[in-house]
Amino acid sequence: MKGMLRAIRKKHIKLLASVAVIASLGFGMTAGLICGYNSLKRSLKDYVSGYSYPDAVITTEVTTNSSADRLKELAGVTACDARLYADTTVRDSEGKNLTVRAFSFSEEERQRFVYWSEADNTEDTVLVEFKFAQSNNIRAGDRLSFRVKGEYRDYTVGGTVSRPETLAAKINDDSWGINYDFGYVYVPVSLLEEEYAKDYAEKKSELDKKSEDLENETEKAGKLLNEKIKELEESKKLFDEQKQAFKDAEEMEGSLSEQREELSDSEKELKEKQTELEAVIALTESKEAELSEQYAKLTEAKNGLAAIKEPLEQLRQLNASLSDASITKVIEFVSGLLVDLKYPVLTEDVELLRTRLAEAQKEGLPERIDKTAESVADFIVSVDSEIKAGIDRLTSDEMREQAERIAEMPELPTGDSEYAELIALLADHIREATVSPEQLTEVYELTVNELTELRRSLDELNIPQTAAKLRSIDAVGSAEKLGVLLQAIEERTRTTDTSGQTLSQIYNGILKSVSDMISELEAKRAQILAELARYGIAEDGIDAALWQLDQGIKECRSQRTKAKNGLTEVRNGIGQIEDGIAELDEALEKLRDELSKNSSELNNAEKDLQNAEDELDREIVRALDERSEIEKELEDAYKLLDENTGYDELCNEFLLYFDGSADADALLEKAAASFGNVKVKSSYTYADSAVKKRIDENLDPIRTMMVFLPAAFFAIVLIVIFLFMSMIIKQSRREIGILRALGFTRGQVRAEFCKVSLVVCAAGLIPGALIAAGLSMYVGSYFKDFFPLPEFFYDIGFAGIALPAAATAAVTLGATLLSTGQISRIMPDEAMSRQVRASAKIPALLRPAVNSLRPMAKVSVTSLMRSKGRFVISTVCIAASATLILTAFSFIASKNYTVHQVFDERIKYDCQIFLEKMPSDGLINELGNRGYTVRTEKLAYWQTDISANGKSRQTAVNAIEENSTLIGITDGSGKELRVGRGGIVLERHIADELGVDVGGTVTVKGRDLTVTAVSDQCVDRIQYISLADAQTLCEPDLCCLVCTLSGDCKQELLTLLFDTEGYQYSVFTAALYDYNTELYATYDLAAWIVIAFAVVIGFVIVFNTMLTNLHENKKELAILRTLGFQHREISRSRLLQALLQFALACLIGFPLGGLLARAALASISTPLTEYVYVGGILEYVFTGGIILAYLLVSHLISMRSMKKWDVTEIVKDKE
Amino acid sequence: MNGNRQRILTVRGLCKAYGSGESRVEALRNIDLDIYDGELLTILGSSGSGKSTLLNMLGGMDGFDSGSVIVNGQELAGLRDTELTKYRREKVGFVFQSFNLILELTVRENVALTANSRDPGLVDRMIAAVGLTEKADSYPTKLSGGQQQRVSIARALAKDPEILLCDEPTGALDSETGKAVLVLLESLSRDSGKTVVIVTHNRDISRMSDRTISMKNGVIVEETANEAVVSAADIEW
Repeated sequence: MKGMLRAIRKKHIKLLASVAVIASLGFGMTAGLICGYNSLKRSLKDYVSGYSYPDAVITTEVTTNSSADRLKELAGVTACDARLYADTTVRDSEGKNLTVRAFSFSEEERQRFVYWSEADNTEDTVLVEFKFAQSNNIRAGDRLSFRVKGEYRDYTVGGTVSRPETLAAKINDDSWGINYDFGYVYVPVSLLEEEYAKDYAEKKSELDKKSEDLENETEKAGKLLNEKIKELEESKKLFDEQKQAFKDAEEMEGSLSEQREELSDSEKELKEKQTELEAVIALTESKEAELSEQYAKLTEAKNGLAAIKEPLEQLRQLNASLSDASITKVIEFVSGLLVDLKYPVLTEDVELLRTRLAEAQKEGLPERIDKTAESVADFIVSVDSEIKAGIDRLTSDEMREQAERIAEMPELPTGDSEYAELIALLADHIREATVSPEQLTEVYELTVNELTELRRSLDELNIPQTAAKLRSIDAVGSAEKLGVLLQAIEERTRTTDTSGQTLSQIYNGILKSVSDMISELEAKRAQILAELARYGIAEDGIDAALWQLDQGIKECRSQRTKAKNGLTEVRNGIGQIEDGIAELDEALEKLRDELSKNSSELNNAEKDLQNAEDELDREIVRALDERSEIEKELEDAYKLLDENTGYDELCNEFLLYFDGSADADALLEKAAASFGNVKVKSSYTYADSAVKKRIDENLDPIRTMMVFLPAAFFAIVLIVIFLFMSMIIKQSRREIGILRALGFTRGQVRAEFCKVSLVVCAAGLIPGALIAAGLSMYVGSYFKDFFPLPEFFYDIGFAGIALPAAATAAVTLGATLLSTGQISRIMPDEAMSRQVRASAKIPALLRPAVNSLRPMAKVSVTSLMRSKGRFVISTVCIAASATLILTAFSFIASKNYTVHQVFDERIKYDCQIFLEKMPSDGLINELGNRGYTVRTEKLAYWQTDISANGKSRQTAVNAIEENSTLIGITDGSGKELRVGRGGIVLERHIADELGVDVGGTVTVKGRDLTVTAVSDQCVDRIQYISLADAQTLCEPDLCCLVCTLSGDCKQELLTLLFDTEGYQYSVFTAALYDYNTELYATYDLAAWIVIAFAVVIGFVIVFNTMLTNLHENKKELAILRTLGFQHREISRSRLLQALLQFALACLIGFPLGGLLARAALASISTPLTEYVYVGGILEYVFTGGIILAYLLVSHLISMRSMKKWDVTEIVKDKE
Repeated sequence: MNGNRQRILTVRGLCKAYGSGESRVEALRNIDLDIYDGELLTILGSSGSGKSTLLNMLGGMDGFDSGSVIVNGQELAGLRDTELTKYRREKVGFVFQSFNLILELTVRENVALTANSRDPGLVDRMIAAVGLTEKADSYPTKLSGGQQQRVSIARALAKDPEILLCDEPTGALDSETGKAVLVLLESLSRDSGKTVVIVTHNRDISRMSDRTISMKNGVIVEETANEAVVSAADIEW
């Protein structure tokens, strides 16, 4: 098939070229980055593995080398190299001061160095660590001046060396990037040891001995003084007690005196009170007497009035009643009747009574009297008859009994003579047995009743009553008169010769007497009233006046009673007080005597005490002065010793090698302890595996960027190659058909096309290899600078080159074979025939919509449906491109955000220097004088486990001075945070991970700490505790000097620190930033490479797909053109397709890009720093912009090519 | 007519259908045909009669459903692809209506595709035979239709086939050009003794052949021996 190859190539030159380009770029980038990574890995590992790390290192203050021999004798120690090192300043050829750490090394150790340049090591030559030499432009043959015993002496730089330990430190994330501007220089042993160390060690040893002696003596003296002080204190204590007692006594004396005063005052008061009360009593008595007199007078007046009132009233009534004529008559009648009733002859009496009654009736007596008379008459009659009837029945004994009974009856009005006589009369009758007892009783009862009635009537006539009342009137002295009168009346009533007239006379006499009595009483009353009126009291006011007087008298009495009671109390009180005063006087006298005695004793004791104290002070001062003098001497001696060395800190470093079975930590401890008084500055074990592990850990993120991402990208490239090759073969269907028709076998056809594939492979792989080589060399050179690698070994291995190349070839050939095989199986006739292109299968659901489209749009849609496979593949490829580009952009943005967070936000100062001790005031002042703004913090830093709620995590912990402000660390509200004892400030992600919040508890090294705040530093995962807590949890040994300054004055600071104070250890934040800047530049580089390749390959794919699509639909489009459709209409429809692809690609690619970016960021995150995904709109816009750009460019180019079509020819073309 | 000639191709009961179900088309139905050595045979039929299908079957371009095709004792039915390919390679020369040249190859290269590499001058001779020596290094796109068809004929002849099958060789050409092609084909048959089978829809062309097989709807409706063979040069259409 001669020429067939050329024919195929010619037909598909563009596509084949595209495949070659894609292959070369994809292969080149992938292989280049993988090779670069492998080379780095190999370089690091080879470099590290070539160095034999010691198992442990002990650094001490300088001592003799006998220490090394002693260490070698320890069980488990197989070897021990001893060397000296010192931090010092050297001057380079240009006179610039460089701070270096000079190491002496033994011959054995020299063998362990890795040399990278010509090293002429003689007694006068020094070897410089290569990175430091590079940075400071030091070359072999240059001179370095060392200060030796105060003078500068020149040494030649024999060459550069490398120490993998520095590499380990460089790539150790925990170290925060030690900057080796503080360079390492390897000097001959003689420079350090022979000239100084021995002499120094001996002298130092002497000084140490003297220091020790001083300490011992000071201790002894101190003990003695302490005892004396103790004694003095006890004496003081006793004296104080005595003094206190005296003071108490004085106070008591004062108190008693005060009490006496108070009592005297009280007595006085009471006496005054007494006088007052007595006066009150006298007053109330006289007042009472006055009032009583008045009361008596008033009462008399009242009584007088009262006594007068009733009788007067009665008299007036009597007078009134007596003036009644009818009554007079009744009186007369009844009087007569009474008289008449005294007689035992009743019948006649009755007749008389009847007669009299009749007369009375005639005269018009009141009815009552009539009744009475009548009843009396009836009575008399009845009695008469009864008496008569009964008398016969009574025996004489019975009658006597009745009579006696009647006599004894209490009802008998025994005081009334008229009844008594009547009864007596009856009784006589009874005794004379004229009536039965029963009758008599009955009669008596009747009589009594009637008599009672009669009496009542008589009473109503007021005669006896009047008489009784009259008798009662005694107040006005008329009693005798009345009495006589009454008596007279009574006598008259009793006598038989009392007649009515006499009674009338009596009555009239009574009337007159009554009237006189009335007048008299009225006069008396008037007199009393006049008397009362003189006092302004009316008759109706007497009671009120009496009441007032009574109240007044009561009041006086009450007051007097109170006063008397009070007086009694007062007198009692006065008595008590006088007793109390007497007692107090006695006590005071005693107390005063005692006080005066103790006072003088105390004064003496005080004087003695003071003297003793003064003496002791003098003794102490003497002792201190002596000690200070000696200390000063020693200090000067030490200083002199150090000055003479020319170094600030000459140290020994012992490199220990253990046998395999030894417990390194235990053995190290034992070795460190064996130094005795020699101060051990630091000790640590070294594990090769740990170093290698650190290398691996730090290579991981680089591997992600340089292997995994490119591999993923390469996979996409392979897919694209496969698809393109398949497409090319399918486009050669006609040719394959022809060849098959002409009788070429499938194998022959496949072979021919495979040749094409091979050519394409070669066309891709060869430039790709060159790209790979170039890229790996570029990456290598970059890493060579980034890591302190003196040499970089390029590892072009299977994984790096052969595998991607083989994969590319395999995919290319595979696609060819597969497609060719498929088409070869088609019968030649069918293969050659005009491909009946598959009709565009429009889904039924969309058919109505598609059919409704305008022709142009419909053509676009149908052509899309027809070649939907290619469309999908193309879209997927664009999506992959979008994914990678977005991943890279997001990665860069997120990384930049983290850097900003860590450095710009977090670190607001120019440099941060870690020192082994607090800087002196002198240094601080000096820095201030030089224009630096300085602050210091004591802090510590270490990695440890922190746990809470059953979860545990390793993290970094910083310890700072209590209540120092955490620089640049805030909580969510922007408030700066401080940390206090027992507390911890957690970083937010750590807090979330452990499930704790403010107020919760976490455990650090077995100690519970309270979360006092949660910081919002989401990338810098450091926790903060107080230094006080840290000092019990670990050994904080760092001081942080924080400076803000301008310009690059790192060197100046270093020199100042080293020359002035001799600080051992320093790190600059700027270096950290620089270190990380280099690292980030690596990441950026990888990201930009990915972007570049993604753009190029994406563009190639899109461009070719568009052209192919155009070519496929050439006929339709040409027909449309001939039918009058404008170019721009066609262009627009195809642009819409392109935009649809763009939209779909973004839809797929953006989410994937985000995920991939997150994965990439996670892979470079460390326990200390998390790279947070901050995918923002900008990244999406950039990515979309790039994709759209190459879509549009491809579209424009394809449309431009369409413009060149000869549409008529295309339309005519049957093939 | 064909009494002296040997039968080189025998077709019996040939059936071929395309599609399935409702769209099944029986392109050939029980075709029986003999072709004799050195004859110029025309298979005449209108579009869709099955003539091109029959030719494809005879040329081993496609398989058939049933029947047999025996070419010089070789039964085509049941042949594997390699054997069929070998048949196409060695036994049959095919001339397509649309020429089917490799556009990226020159005339010489196109012809050389099938030429026997042991005979170095064969290609030039074939090119010369079709009168295109001066165009030997030209690309098909630079040739006229007739020229392309002649290249196609040269290519077909370069393998020295036992039978030359021509499917509408003048279909894509104008009458003058087509006539030239026919003249060439005629000469191959008459002068070189090649067995030439021409498929055409043009009855006028069939006048130049020794025998005409008429087809309609997949069956041979007529087979006529041409009593008055007309020279290709005299054919007008």
